Amino acid sequence: MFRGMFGRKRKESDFKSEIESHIQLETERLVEQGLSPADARAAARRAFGNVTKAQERFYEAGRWLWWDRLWQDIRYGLRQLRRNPGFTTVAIVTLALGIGANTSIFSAVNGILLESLPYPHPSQLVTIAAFVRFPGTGVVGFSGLSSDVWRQVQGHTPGIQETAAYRDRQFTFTGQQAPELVQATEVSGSFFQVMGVPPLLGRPILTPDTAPGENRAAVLSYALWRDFFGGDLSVLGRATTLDGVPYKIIGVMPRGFGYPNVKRGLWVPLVLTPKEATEFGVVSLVARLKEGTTVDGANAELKPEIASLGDELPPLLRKAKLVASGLKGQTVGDERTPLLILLGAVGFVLLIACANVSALLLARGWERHREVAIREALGATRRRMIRQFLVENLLLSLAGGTLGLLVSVWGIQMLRAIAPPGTPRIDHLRLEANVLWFTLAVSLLAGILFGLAPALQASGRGIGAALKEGFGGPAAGRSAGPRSHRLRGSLVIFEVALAVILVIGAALVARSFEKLTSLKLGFRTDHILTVTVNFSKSVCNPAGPANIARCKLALSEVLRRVRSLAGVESAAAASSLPPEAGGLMFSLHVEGRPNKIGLGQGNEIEVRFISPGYFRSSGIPLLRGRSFRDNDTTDSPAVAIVNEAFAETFLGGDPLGKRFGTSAGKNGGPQWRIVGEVGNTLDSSFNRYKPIPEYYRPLGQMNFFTGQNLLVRTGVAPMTVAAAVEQAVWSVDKDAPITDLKTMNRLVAEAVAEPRFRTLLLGAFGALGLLLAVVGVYGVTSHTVGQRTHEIGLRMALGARPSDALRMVIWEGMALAGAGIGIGLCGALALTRLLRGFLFEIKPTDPATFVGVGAALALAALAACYVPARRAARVDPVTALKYE
Amino acid sequence: MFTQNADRRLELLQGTLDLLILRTLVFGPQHGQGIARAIQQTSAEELLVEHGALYPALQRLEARGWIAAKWGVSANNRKARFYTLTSAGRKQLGRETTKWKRLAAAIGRILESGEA
Repeated sequence: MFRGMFGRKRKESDFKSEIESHIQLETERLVEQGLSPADARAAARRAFGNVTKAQERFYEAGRWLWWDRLWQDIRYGLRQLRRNPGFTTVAIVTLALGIGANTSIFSAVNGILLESLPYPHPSQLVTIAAFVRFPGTGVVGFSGLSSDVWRQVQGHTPGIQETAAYRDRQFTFTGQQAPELVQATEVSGSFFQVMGVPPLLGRPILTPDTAPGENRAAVLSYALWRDFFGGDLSVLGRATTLDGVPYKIIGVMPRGFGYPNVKRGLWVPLVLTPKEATEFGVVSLVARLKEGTTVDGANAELKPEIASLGDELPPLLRKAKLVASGLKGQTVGDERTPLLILLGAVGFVLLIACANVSALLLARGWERHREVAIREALGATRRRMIRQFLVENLLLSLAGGTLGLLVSVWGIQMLRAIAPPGTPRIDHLRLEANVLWFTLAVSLLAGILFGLAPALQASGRGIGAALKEGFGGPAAGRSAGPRSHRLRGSLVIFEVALAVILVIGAALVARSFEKLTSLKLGFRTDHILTVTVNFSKSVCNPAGPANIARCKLALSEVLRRVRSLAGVESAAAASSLPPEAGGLMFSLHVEGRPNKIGLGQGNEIEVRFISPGYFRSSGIPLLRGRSFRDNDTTDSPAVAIVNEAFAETFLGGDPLGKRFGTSAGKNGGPQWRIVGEVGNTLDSSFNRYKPIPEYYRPLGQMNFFTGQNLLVRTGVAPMTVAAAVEQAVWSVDKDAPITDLKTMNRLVAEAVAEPRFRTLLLGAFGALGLLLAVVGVYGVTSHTVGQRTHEIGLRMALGARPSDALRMVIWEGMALAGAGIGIGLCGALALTRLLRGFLFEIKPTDPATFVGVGAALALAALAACYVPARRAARVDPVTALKYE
Repeated sequence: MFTQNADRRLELLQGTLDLLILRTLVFGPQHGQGIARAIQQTSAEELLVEHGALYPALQRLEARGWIAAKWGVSANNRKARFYTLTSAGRKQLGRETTKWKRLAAAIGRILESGEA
């Protein structure tokens, strides 16, 4: 029985010879009874009955008839496909490109959007943050809350099952080759219960662990355990010292768990000092909702919470609202729209591919019309014929899908390589079950989509009509079938329209990207190395004035040693480096202005704390006055430098000598004197293209320590001095982890990585769509010419010139392409608004882009028509008429 | 196709051919033509077996594993496909015979009571 499913049980020839042997035996018996051999044979045959019918009955009674016919169709289909290698290759490659591109993008959608978070019931997990609406600048969220808010939320929100507080911090792990920073999170005792993930080894941090003075417990992440402890099972109970405090390892979390920011790091108990316990901005909250509570429901309960804290709130947060937001939406957050747009674009590519293959099939279906007619005349039912065609198409689409999978393996690698850094879960992209199902579904759908119309059309023509056309081959046929012709025409219109939409989308995004990258940044990007130095606690523990002085000393020592390195021209330190934004300033007094300025008043103002030499090293031009010097210290008058935008916006021109500050100085006026004015710089959120007012203060005058970001201007290729810079840092602080050792060029490239990613992908889809559409136009025009050779020959015999034939073919092809372009432009008008978030300095309906793309497609279509048109012009009337 | 004297013979009831084939093979391996002849002879030429109808039945029985087949040489040196009863076929024959006898007896009783 099993055998029967996969191969026919018995060959027909075997059955035939058995019947033959039966008749033979019967004949011989009858001859023995005295009949003549001829009569005996006739009698034996009569007794047997209808031989063919017996054969058929034998066969049809078989349980596997359906399967058998399918197998027959498949073999027949494979033969047909083998017989037309050109057609088969073009169709399969076209489909493979379409399906492969779709599979790649879907794997990203699957990996980033669809895959669930590695926590049980992730939809119950929310983070809680305070949101404040500022006039002018919109809503700002503060995730840093206080222990009071935590207790309030925990105690007074019935929809919340459990709330946990946490605070991010870093530890320096020494003992490896180079000191390394590891990410750590201090968590409350409820944290692991909220997350609902049990440890792989040992136990989680519990509330008793968070009591002050206890021996500190630590839970390792899987990656840290693997890389720093060699995956040793005996790690539990081991003591380890982190930043001078002893910790005892009590557990290891499973692979994949890293909430909130622990990739290769650890969790330690959250122990707050009495002061921290009352402060705002200390802890973040994550909570698990009760079963049946929605995020909206929780928010309805949360709203009054923050207000009820009343006077304890800092003034800034008085009007704040607590908002719970689902965890899942956050980790994928901004990726959603771009990915869905990409999925839409790549879907267009597949549709174009299908239209192309469909047109090819129509053309071939017409060539095969006689085969169909003959098979129908021999008794094949219409259903059987449609099935035969569908089987062939499914074979094509499955082959295309298989090849498409190979394409997507490469596509996924590409995606990973060009994805902007920080794309969530990008390393999770792979061909997994979901993706394979998707590919199979898309392949089958494509097979039915591109195959149904041609199948119906090819089998519905009627026997007589096809056979009457004689055996002269398709070229002799006068009736190409107006239906088939129209169908192919509409396919071309359809695919050209889709290609227009795709290319316009790609062109808009590409033009924005070009505008983005040609922006004047305001600082040099070449020959600059950036380094972040994280001083160890023993060298720099910035708490208390004496310690801050030590930190500043350590920093100037590092700068001195770096500046003396061969190849280094200058070096400086800053609280943050361009293209990263400076710190946001909440409120400032400016001399001569009655009102305060700043974020609280609807002005964005940024601040950076810098060392002397910063402007020289970064190439930001000094426009007026002087830059900071080494003797700008806490003992000298407080000074500041502002950028052009600051001077223009708040001081109305020349800023030198004017004063501003966070509060009134000793003599009543604002306390910082402006000593210089520098050029504007753009920060990484290039969409805020308008330069932001910014001011600089000397690091040496600050009563806190920041500025561990070094900017090293080199005379040689920047990375060649990287190792020496590291050594210079370590010669001052041997335990200082060094992070973000990069060139400025790379930093800037990373800032535009996301638009670059979209541009590359949409550009690739646009190019693919365009290519397929042009091939489609070419294919259909060229087929039409082939079909009409006879007609063209006749026209020429009657006096038409070759140029008339040329014009006729081009005119017909261009009429289709023109209609497609027209429809595509309208479609693009309706659809490009979806791209608004991707565009920069260009409108979604930018007329130049629309006209340009329309013209480009028209040209491409013209080229695609011209080649077959030339062939039409060269038709020799004599040869063409001889076809008859 | 009917032979000339077909009208005088009994046509086989649906499903009875399988039983007859199995019964015939109890006496040993036989080829298709032999089975047809045996059925006709043992039924004293009463039963009409269209030889062509035999083969689908043989095919069916073979597929169900009740008979097995292999090519061999007939008594008069002809190549022929010989069928043998399998043990499953023997059991099936038993079941079918019982069933058939009960059916025949039941029909007989009904017909007799009608005549009485």
